[in-house]
Amino acid sequence: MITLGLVLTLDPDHPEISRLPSRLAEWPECSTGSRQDAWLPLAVEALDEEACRNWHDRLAALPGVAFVDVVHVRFNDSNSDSGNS
Amino acid sequence: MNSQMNRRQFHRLAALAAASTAVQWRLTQASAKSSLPDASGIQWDKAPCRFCGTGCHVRVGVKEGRVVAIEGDPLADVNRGLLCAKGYHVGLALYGKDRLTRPLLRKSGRLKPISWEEAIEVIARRIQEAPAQFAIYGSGQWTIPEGYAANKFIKGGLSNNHIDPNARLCMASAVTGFLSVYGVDEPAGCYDDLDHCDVLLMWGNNMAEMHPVLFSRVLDRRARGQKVTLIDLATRRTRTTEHCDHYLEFKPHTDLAILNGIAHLLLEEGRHDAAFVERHCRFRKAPRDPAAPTPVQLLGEDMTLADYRAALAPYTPAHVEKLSGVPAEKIRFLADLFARRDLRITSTWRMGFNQHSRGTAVNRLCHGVHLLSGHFGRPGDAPTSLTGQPSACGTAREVGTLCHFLPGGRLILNPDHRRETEQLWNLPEGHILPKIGHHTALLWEKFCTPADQGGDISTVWVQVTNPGQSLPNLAKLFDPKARIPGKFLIVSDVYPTATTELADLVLPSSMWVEKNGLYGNSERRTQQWFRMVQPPGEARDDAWQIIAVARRLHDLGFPGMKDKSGRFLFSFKNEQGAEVPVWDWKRYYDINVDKAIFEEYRQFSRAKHKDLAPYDEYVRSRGMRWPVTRQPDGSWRETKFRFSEFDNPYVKKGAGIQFYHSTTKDDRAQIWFAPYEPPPESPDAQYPFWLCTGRVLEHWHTGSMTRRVPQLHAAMPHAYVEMHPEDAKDRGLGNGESVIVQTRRGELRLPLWISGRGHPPRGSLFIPFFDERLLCNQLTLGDLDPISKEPDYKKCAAAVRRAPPTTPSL
Repeated sequence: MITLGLVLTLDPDHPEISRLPSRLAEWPECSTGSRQDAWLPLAVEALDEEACRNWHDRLAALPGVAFVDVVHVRFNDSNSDSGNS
Repeated sequence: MNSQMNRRQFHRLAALAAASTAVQWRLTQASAKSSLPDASGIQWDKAPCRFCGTGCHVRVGVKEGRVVAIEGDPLADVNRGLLCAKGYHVGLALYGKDRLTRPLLRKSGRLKPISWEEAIEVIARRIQEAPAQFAIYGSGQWTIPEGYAANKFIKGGLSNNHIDPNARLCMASAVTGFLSVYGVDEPAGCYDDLDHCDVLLMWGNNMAEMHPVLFSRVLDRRARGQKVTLIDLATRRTRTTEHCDHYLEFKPHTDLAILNGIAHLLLEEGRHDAAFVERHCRFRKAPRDPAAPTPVQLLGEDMTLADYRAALAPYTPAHVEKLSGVPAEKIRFLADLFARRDLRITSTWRMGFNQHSRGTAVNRLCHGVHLLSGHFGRPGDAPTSLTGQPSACGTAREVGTLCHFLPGGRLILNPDHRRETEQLWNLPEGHILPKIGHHTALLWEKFCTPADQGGDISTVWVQVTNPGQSLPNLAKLFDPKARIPGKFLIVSDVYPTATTELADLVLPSSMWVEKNGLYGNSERRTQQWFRMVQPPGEARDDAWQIIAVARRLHDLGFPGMKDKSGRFLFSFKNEQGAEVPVWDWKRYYDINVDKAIFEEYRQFSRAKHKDLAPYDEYVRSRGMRWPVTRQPDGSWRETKFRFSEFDNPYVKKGAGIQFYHSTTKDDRAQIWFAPYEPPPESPDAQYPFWLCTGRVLEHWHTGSMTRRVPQLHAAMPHAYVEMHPEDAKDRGLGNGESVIVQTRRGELRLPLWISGRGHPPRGSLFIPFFDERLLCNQLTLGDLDPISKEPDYKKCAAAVRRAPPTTPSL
């Protein structure tokens, strides 16, 4: 399990921005913090490493999300022997 | 189970707290600390990110001797708690399964483990046999102390200047641009310009993917309701384009024409900043003799404003449109922006300008447009090059590991600079060779040429880079090594690479937080970190490797390894005044060698007003931008805006702006004229496409580290070729189909990606260079800028055809 801390930069003028909280609430892997102006803090649990990137892309593609920044990552110890060779 | 649940909940809360802290910073612009105590037993310390030249600071979490967590550092001015996907995975890059852990010597064609003692002996004997035929090839990934040690070893110890970093391949043209315009290298502005500009012009600079944290910083301003106009000037649509207000697509190589077109309009319409130019600038052109030596080319010849105006006269909007494909009204639009004093304009660039067979010229022109319009010196008004490696500025440029440099901006060809360096190194006068060494392309060409045909380099020691993948035209500059007896290649690295495949001796190196280090980022910021974990197996620090070889040569009686007092070149003492034998690995960390080297290097930094603070100041800070000057109260103050009186203590009172290293010794910058000229190779009937190469978000440089991070590898597993859908349709090619891309240098089989991440225009192709199994540098032209000697990777002519159907596809 990998735990991510992310910041979503929102487009406040986007017509679907009001639906964003309910969209995020549909995903039990996500926990949102308090939206402050155009920024929303978010924690995500990803099952494996590839899922991290998929989450990133999925969040970036949500209507009303302008950019996704990463601020924190905790690797699961059992996954830390990485390697693709 | 409960414990497991609690731990998961804790990790989730910690992640959310970190994200909330970053949001808080954005709101208040003040650093905030997470209120959540870290009860997981992780020890945290700071370090700059290992990857690009942005210089983001990360908090590195260590538990039981391993890096287990990474956070953006909210106390860091550069990234304010944010990271991109690469920085976020930087910890995992340490733990690829195929880390090199033992020295390996090629015997009977195979690499076999040997001891460090044998490895050091082999290198020392090779050097002793032919010291003048030895070369070091490093990079902007060397830490500052590593680069300094290598530089002193070869230039001071061996009286040999054959050392060059791979930074020659990515920012040498920026260096020659800065030197010939301001008389001193590196940007005057800094990242703060991104917070103040009204207009951001990105010239051949895919910032959203290559410097995402900086790009996010600009988007952040928009999210706060500020107006920032983003303009992407490029030869291919990228993720950056999606966020921009304007996308101006130009034909490859015609950026010079666009810049001349802007300057032409400013002058013709009297909308340049005449007062700024009158007070702070002169005009310059290339010397009449195109074969003049590089120093003469750098200085150029004076020209009058009238001459300059006349030279620009052909660059009417209509003519520039014809050359570049950018509509005339857009050229006017750019000129109109520069004509406005109420706007603040920042230009950024990277490889589009630098990896250009006229890289020096286009760098000069961009500075020139800013100077001509007076968009210089105020926060937000800056021409700024960005670097791709974490210490391209700190190590390659400031330490001076280029073949023509000495530390602190000094030059090999300047007798005073050699004398100063000899004094600081306590060497006999005349010890430093007064002849510049081989630049990168020449060094490798000489190495790949038999000795009896002029190949005067017999041994190359590569540290922290991968030339077997990153050099252009590999068939000429690297591959021949395999066929020439007597050539010996030493490679210090952390993973097997395309370069280690041909190596005769492979040395396992420590990486990032496995050693102490200092880097210097794109905005003149020097950053420090401490070792946090042990390197794997027998891997050892690159600086130690240099010092150990130097000591072995010393013990073998090599005269250059002693200074004129008879002391070893790398003699360091502990607090009790006793010399510590740091060449013995077991004793290397008895003292902080980095600190000792840095304090020695720091003495070089004042000559060009690149003043550095004492080492301990960098321990306390998240980096400081030079010149760092001491204040009356004893504190150390960084400089954000060089040459500007309001911020730079070296500017005379009342001067406003002062270019105090002016090449014309009159405190003025040079506005250069450089004509547009056709590229050395253009598409034709046989090779109808432009081919451009570059990077992708997931992978850094040749991918030797990022390809070992599973999530990055999974996101971008192999190289590809991008093509416009209409071009593919015309050829009956489909998405994912295997094609063969061919140039006059070679051919490569790749999957086709249509309407993928990047969108090349019709008649253009793009291939990323991260994939060592698909070496796009078998195709590149590598034509050199005549002044900077930097190769052009961005344009050559190519053909595409369908590949046999058995090849793998997307």
